[in-house]
Amino acid sequence: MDGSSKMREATTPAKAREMTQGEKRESLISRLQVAIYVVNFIAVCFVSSVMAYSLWSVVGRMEAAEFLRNVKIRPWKPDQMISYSILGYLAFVMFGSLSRKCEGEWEELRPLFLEIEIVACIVAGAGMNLAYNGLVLVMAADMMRGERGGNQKLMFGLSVVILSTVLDFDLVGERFFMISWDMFLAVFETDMQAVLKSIRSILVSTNLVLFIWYTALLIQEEYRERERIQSLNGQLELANRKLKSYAIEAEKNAEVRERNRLAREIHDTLGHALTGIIAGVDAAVMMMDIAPDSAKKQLEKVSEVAREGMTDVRRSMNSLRPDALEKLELEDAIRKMLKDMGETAKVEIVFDNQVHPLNFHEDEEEVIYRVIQEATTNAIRHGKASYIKIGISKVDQWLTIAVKDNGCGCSEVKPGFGLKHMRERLAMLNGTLECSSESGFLVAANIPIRWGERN
Amino acid sequence: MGETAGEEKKKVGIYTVIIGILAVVILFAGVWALQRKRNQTVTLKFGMFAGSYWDVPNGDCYQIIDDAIERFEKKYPGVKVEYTSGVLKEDYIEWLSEQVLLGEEPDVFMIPDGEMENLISLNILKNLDRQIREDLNFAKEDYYSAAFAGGTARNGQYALPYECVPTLMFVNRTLLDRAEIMMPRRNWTWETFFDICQQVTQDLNGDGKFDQYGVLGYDWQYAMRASGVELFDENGKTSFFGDQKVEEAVRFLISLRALDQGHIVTSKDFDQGNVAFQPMTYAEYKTYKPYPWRIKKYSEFEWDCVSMPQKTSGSGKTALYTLLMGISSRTKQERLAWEFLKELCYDLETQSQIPESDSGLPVIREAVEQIQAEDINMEVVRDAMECAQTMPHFVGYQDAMEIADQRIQEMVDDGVALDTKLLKLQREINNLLKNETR
Repeated sequence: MDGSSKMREATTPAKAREMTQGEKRESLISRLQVAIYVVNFIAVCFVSSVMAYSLWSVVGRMEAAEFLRNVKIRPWKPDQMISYSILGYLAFVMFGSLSRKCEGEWEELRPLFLEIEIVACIVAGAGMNLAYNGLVLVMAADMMRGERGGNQKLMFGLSVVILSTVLDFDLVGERFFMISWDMFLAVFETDMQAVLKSIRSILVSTNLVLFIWYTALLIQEEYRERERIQSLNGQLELANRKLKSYAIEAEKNAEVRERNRLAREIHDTLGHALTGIIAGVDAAVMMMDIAPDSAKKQLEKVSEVAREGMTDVRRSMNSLRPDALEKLELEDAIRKMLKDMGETAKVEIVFDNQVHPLNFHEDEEEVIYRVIQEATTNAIRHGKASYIKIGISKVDQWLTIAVKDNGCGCSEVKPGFGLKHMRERLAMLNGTLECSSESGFLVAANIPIRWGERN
Repeated sequence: MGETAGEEKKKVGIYTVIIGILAVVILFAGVWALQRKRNQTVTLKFGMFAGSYWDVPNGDCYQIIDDAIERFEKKYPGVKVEYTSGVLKEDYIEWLSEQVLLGEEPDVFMIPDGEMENLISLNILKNLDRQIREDLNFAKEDYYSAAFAGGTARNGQYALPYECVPTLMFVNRTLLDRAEIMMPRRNWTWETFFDICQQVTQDLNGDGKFDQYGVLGYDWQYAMRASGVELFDENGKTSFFGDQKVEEAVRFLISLRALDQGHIVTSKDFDQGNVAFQPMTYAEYKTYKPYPWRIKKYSEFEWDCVSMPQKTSGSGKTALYTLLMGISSRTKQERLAWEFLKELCYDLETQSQIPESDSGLPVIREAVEQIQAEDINMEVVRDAMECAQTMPHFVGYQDAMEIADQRIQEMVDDGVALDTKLLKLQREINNLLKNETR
């Protein structure tokens, strides 16, 4: 846990740096877009005004008839060329940005705006007599930015092809009374022609360079986005793997716990019964010669204990729950158990219960039953006691079970299997176990009972 | 829930914006339409040049137009016809081109000589076929067919004739009287023509050189028309210079030329009264025949006009020159422009005014038949109109005629009319036409 949190701390600043870089690139792309728009605006104004001016200058120089004979086409009106180009271009930019604004939020409106944008692009291109087709690049840039997935990709490619066809002078120019750029230029002096020509090609190439730059950045951006998603996917996979191993570990833990429980169970039932049997048989052996009848009675008791132990083991196999608890109320079950144990081991057992009724949750009852059973067994087995006193009392929510014997006790309390198991059982209910060895052995268990529903 | 409500709000917002834009557009359109309706005065522009189309002195060239405009404006209240005055004939094509370049060409305008084909290919002239078909008050039969054909090109009607001049043959009556030769009659032929030329070609002062001649300026084109030969097919794709009739016409020209024995007849000879015949247009005839102008030109002798001689009686044609008017293909007042064009080119009142104040002839038959002139022999004029023929309009016509002019002039000068040479010319011109129409 510690290691992974450290890792997270280490990755956060790197991610933040990447974000700001991404934002930087995004803002560069936006600025490039603006630059493309501005360059194209200049180009549109330049081309259309040169064309209009050339017509006006032809008229001013009284060369109109000759001009018409040369071009063989009735040109557009000069003011029409300017207004179509510039207004068309402005509409083009406006709807282009509108369609970009719609990205993500009003996706259904985007195709509409895109179509209007295409129409505006054609109007502006026609206004310039197709002498400048840089607008196709702007259109392509616009579409590329919004482009998502298969169908749109197809539409995007198709419309760029159609646009560049429609805006090609050699293909459609003459049909729509358009005059080539060179024809317009031929009106000017040679020096001027060169200047105008170079201005136009500077604009065209600037536009091209900006477009390529823009496209490259867009592609880079997309690539980076994909990479980011890939790394996120990797992280997710790692987390998944960890989760799986945790699950396996938890399963193992459960198995171990279950095994422990089983061991406890065996100890509680089989151990207890065997202790009783051994003690009973020992007594019978001693009495055999002195009082065969008593020995016989004793052996009958032993047999009963053994049978009960057998049932207990069987029941343990089924539900791992004491059979007495199954059939009787807790107090009766405890009394029966103590009576049996006292009779088998020839020990005087006093049960002093001050809590009535003795009625708790199942798990609590089982723990109480087992603690009493264990403590009593311990007293008989290890303490060799002849008198055992068991008391149950209550202070606030705490239930206290005290088992005191008059046995030898021990100078040092070595927690064996029995004590350890008792602790474990109590710990499951947040209870505690204390023991002391002064004039016999005392075991005191405190359990915080969930008083309520049942009492 | 909150999010979807926000989206809903946004959606409502964008629809409001769209509806707002639409509303503004509709509002503007409405205001514009209303304003258009309010100032209902429609201006129709008319393009014309000053002076005579026929290169003869003319009186007030604007009189007929002004009268026609007045009548038209009375017929269509709220319509105003404007024209730019003072554009000379030689500047007119430039002026018209400038107006076209500025996109301000007149709705109705005169078509300069030989520019019709050019104007059609530049898509400046409107095709009038629909108007002619749909207008029940218009019948092309009211025109002299030759005059109407002047506005036909590419199998369509692109212009209407406004006035026309046929070609006539000027005759020096004094000279014929002196030689005791009768004035030629109607339907006279090449035979008579040649006989008279032969008879009048004389050396009067006995210096060994001829000083009196038969004809001046009778070029190959007159001869072709007189023999009734068609030089081109309808579409101007092929020529027929190899035709035998062409060869015969060239031979006739050679024999006429031979009469002068190498002397080149000039207009000075003519003005001095030493030439019997010269082809001239009706405009010249009309201008110089009546009193005030007669003094200035040809005052030394009596003269008159007869129709052009034909190869055989009734076989030939005479050249007809027409002044055409058309409608701009970009006009916004299609119907009014057509009505105004009709007012000039079809209306009997306007057409009847032409003989009084212009040197051309009306193109409407009825208007010509009404003419009552004392000085002019109208019978001759009407004869000429009946067998008139206009120049065809097709790409390359001018170039083809220039080449033919040069080649045939060479043949006449050399005195040899070889059918091989004519076939070669035919091939040359066919090639030219093929390249032009490509």
